[in-house]
Amino acid sequence: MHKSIRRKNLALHLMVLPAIILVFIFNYIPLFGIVIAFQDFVPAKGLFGDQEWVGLENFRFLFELPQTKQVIINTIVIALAKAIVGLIIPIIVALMLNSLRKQGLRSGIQTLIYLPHFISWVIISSILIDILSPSTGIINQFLMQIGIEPVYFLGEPKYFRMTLVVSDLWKEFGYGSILYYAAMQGINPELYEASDIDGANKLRKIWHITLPGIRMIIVLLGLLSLGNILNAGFDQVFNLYNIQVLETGDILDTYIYQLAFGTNLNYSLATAASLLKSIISFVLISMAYYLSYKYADYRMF
Amino acid sequence: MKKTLVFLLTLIVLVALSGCKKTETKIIPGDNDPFGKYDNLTTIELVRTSDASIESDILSYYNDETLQNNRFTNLFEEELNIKITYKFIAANPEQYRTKLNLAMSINDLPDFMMVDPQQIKQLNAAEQLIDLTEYWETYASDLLKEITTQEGNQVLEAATIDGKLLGIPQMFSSIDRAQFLWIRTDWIDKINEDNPNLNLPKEPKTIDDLEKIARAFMTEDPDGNGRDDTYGIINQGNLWADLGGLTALFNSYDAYPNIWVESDGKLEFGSIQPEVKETLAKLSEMYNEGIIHREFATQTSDTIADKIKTSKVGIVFGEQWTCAWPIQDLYNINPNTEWKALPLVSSDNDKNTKTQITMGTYGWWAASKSSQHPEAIIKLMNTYVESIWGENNDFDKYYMPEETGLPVWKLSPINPEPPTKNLDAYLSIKNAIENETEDTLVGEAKQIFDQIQKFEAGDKKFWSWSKGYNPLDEPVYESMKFYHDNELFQYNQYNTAPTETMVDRMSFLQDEQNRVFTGIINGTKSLDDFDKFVDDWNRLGGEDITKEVNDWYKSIK
Repeated sequence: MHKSIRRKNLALHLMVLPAIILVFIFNYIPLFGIVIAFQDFVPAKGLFGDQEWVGLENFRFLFELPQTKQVIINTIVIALAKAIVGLIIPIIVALMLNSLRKQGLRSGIQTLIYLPHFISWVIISSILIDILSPSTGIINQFLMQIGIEPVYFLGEPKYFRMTLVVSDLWKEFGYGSILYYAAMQGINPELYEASDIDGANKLRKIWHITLPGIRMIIVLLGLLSLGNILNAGFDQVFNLYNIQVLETGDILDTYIYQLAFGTNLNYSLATAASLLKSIISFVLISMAYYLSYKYADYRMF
Repeated sequence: MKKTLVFLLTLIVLVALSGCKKTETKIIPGDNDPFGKYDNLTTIELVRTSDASIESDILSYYNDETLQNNRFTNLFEEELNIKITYKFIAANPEQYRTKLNLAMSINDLPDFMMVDPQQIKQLNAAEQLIDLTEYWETYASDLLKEITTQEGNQVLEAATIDGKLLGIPQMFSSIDRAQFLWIRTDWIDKINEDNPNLNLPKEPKTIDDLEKIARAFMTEDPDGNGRDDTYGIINQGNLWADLGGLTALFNSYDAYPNIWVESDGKLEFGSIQPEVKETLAKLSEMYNEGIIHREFATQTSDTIADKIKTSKVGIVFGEQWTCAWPIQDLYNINPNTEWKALPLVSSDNDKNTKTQITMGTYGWWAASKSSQHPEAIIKLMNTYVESIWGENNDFDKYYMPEETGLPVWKLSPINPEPPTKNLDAYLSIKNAIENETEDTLVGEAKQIFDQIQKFEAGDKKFWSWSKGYNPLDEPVYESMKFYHDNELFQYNQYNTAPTETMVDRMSFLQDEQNRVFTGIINGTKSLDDFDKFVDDWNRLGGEDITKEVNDWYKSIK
């Protein structure tokens, strides 16, 4: 009996092996590269060459750079805004979907709002740059028609974050709503029938049945987005930003990219910044996990 | 468990050791002949960069040639018995840098690679390079030596460490990188006709003249389509771009950003001088009025080209090739357009403005330790320059065939060129036309002259050649001659390998500078932030850099 279970599991373990090997090669072996953060890394000397060790010098210089503090603030502000908006709007949309009676209309809307999720930021950004242009873009043409001064959404630092959040929301809210909508389908219909008998109206039903019913999935998605608080969206920002909006738009990932592959080619500093980001992310995820365990009784392990 | 650990450790040690493997070099005593042919077919491994125009224009027209197999590889094989292979072909310069850095970090270097002084320093520190001093003395042909040192020895010195020459410079013309004010004169004429009391000067000499014209271009509907859709001065996100940069306007105020200039016997960094602040004040004023394009941060060379082509803009700063691209595209559609390339305007009336340029090299070819024939790179260069500018050249075949006008020289992996070749060509054309004889024209000058003739005969495709070199067409090289005759080139006076602190810090200081300057121009930062930038610059390493630069400067004086 005992042995047969083991044999059954062996097959399963073998099936998972390729994935483990890939993770080991691409996620664990590169961890050795962290040493670069503590070196004055010169590529010509080779990865295992005679590099000079400089201790925490790279971290010190990182914080001396005038831009670093601003970049961290930008990252947190943009990511937080995205997380909050990206949590609330999809729930509202899912509630609306849930109250639609016509099956055909509902799946039509679902498909439509889900679609942008599959388009790459490279494509979306070139479309956005076109339609948001102050002189030729369709949105500003419209604003001018109704007598509003054109807005330079992608070039004015004060509008740039908003543009990021709204365009990200547009791209991703369909994905979130579908998750919530699916969770709502799992709620026992008898609960609604019972509340009908108790004479609850629509809003009461949402508040007392639907929302508590999807509480777990809200916590889960909230937790995942907290872990991502330092990932404000490399693809999006990298394709949309320009030198004029670095002040409010430069985030950690684009900053690290520029350190490593931009004009600087400073691998040590980029690794240091990246390591710093990982450490903060790790702390945040641990905190979020602890909180969700304590308050929502959610466990992953 | 223990076994696994031992196994893992062995693996790590093995991997580490394989990275340290060194190849012993043996110098093969050659025949000391700069053009000597190898007895056996010798394979040389290089790296190179491609670009969009090579793929779309040259290779699609000459479709029996490839980057691996073309007129140059045949030439090298026939003349020298050298076969060229590539470790990699990068699609653009950025990719080249990344790929080369990767190759450097895993010690997987080709025989020869084009590098910059900083990489030479790093590779030398890792003992990866061969000293080329002897080879250069022995193998460089007279023509190659002349081309390389035409503007002085500093290109060789920049690649020399402890008396060892570690890279052979691949020359290009430094003066051909000078900026001009390209201005659409048919628009000036039209506005003067429509609105005579504006009285626009036909050749702006000062910033005020230029501002007046730019304002008129913006508001007076020069394209006559009845819509407010034209711009004043067009520029782009990269403030220092070769097309649509603003370096020229800084130069107007005697500010020389990004380069080192002597003052009172000491070298000073141009970007932190008070003249820069003065320029920024003016630029932010122009931005507020809309004379400087409001959306400049999102512009690139390509979007600027579009705006020129569609008659949206009539003022742009650019190098001598601006007439070939993008203005020729406009001319193909609208042959009534007239442009002039003028010397830079000045902030006050009485003086000429210097234009800033840096040392004329694309990079240096270094020989890695694995190279069996370090002299081969010099032989290749000898053969290349001889085939194009030598006595028995075949300019038509190896530089630019007359029938197509395509720059086939790009097919060669190495392409040094004589620094003043274009100005020399212009001077001989001018001379020929003044003396009414074409017999004196040879090589490149002859070819350019033929292109001008084609334009005169009515082929509009060749307009840019006339605008470039026809002495009767107010060409860009007349303005170049003006710079040259009046010694209006401001060279970067720091022209050797970057100092230690420069390697560590310069690119950050540069990023910070561009951020602050852009912010001041578009009003997201105040003018006083310039003073804060100067403080930051000094504190974050600029002070040390200035000291190192001046130590070097003292040492060469």
